[in-house]
Amino acid sequence: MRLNELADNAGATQKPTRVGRGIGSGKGKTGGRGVKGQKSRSGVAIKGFEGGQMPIHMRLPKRGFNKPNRLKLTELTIRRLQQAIDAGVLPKGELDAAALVSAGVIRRGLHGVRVIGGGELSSALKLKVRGITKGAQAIIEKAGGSVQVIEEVPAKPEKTAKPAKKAAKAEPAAKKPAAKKAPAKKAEAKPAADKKTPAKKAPAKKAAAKDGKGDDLTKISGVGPVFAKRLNGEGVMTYADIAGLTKARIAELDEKLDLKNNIENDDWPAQAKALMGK
Amino acid sequence: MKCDITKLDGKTSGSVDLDDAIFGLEPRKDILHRMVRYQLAKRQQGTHQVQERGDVSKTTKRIGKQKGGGTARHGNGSVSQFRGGGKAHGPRVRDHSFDLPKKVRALAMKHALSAKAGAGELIIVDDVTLKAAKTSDLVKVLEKMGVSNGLIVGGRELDSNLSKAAQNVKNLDVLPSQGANVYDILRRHTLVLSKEAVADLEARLK
Repeated sequence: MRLNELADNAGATQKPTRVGRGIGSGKGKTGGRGVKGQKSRSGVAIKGFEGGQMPIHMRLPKRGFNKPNRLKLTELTIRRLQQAIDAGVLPKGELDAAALVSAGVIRRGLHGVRVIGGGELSSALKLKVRGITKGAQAIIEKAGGSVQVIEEVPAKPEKTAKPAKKAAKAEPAAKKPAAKKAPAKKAEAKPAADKKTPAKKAPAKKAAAKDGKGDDLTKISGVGPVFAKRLNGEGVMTYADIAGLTKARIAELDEKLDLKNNIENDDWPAQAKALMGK
Repeated sequence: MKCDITKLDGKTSGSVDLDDAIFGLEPRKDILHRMVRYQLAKRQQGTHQVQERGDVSKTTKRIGKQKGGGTARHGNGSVSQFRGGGKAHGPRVRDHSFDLPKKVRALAMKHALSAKAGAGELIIVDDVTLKAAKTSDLVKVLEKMGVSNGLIVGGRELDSNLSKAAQNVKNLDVLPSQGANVYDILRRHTLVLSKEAVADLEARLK
């Protein structure tokens, strides 16, 4: 080895940036120190100013909007799951958003977790998530795991504080619709509730009707607080009520409440049945 | 690592066992490069200086007026764009050396010795003494050993006959064992170590 053959490793030293040596260097005119005067202040609108002519960003019409209640799902890659497995931080059993957060795999759940592909999985996982890509599902099932996709947003914790108040309030409210109108279906439900005698048929219906309010119909996809109120007004209080709707009754409700066929489109009876099971 | 010991007349006389941790490494040119740069930077005197604006003797009287002169405005004659003005950002007296950890420096020495041993450019002789301070004698000895460009490292005390004889030999350096260093080893093609030098170096780099 001679002196002329010596060299340091590639990348061992870095040449210093030569500031203020021409435009081509990218650190020419102001040498990375920004500008002075008005343009250096915050909140200056001089950038879009075109000398008094209506500037382009005001000349063109507004377009588009931001959906305020956009569904925000936390993306979770298979690779990240594998890392967690390797680190041994994943709990056993079913993995939902809360479990993943407490394990430190994701920082927060937002509206739910969506699993996306990329990487390989070594062990079987049981996931309960809001969404999953086809590729990710294939990877998980190949590893022997299973995925359950939940439809609705998990209930917010604030709801737990309210029921006591609502139940008290709902007692008189429940009586009103009974007095007003009594279509065939509701007439059945109401007397049972009023008497508070054990009815052998439809125990779920009765139990729910007992505390006056009925079930939380907003849990059904497609039913918001407004529709729930309207349904209550028609005497539909519980999941059992919805599950037991006849075709004629559905048509009637649709007509009356202006539901636009949503009962059939979203298949509320089936959803209600599923909720009854819980 | 076994290595033959030769005499100055070219005959072999036994062998010596060299430490693989010092002579048997795969040479790393990045470490050698850093060490050579360290040595060269450290030896640079750094006594370079020119006159800058403040050093030039010029009158501080204003040249012309600020306005109405019809020519460019100037305040001082010592500025760099004038003839006789000072130099902008000229060299100043300074120390060019930089730090390199002691362990890296020691490692570089090992790699330099290993580089020579690995390339077959290492000759070990039992003794480096000459009977007389004659350059012609030394040249004959070097021809026998096949050294045209080399460094001879003797013991802690150099033979005065040898150092005198080597003064006017082209491409030949002579150093005592404590003076052996990476730059001088790499600068010459063949490295000639005396038995005493090998012992000294191994003790130093242990």
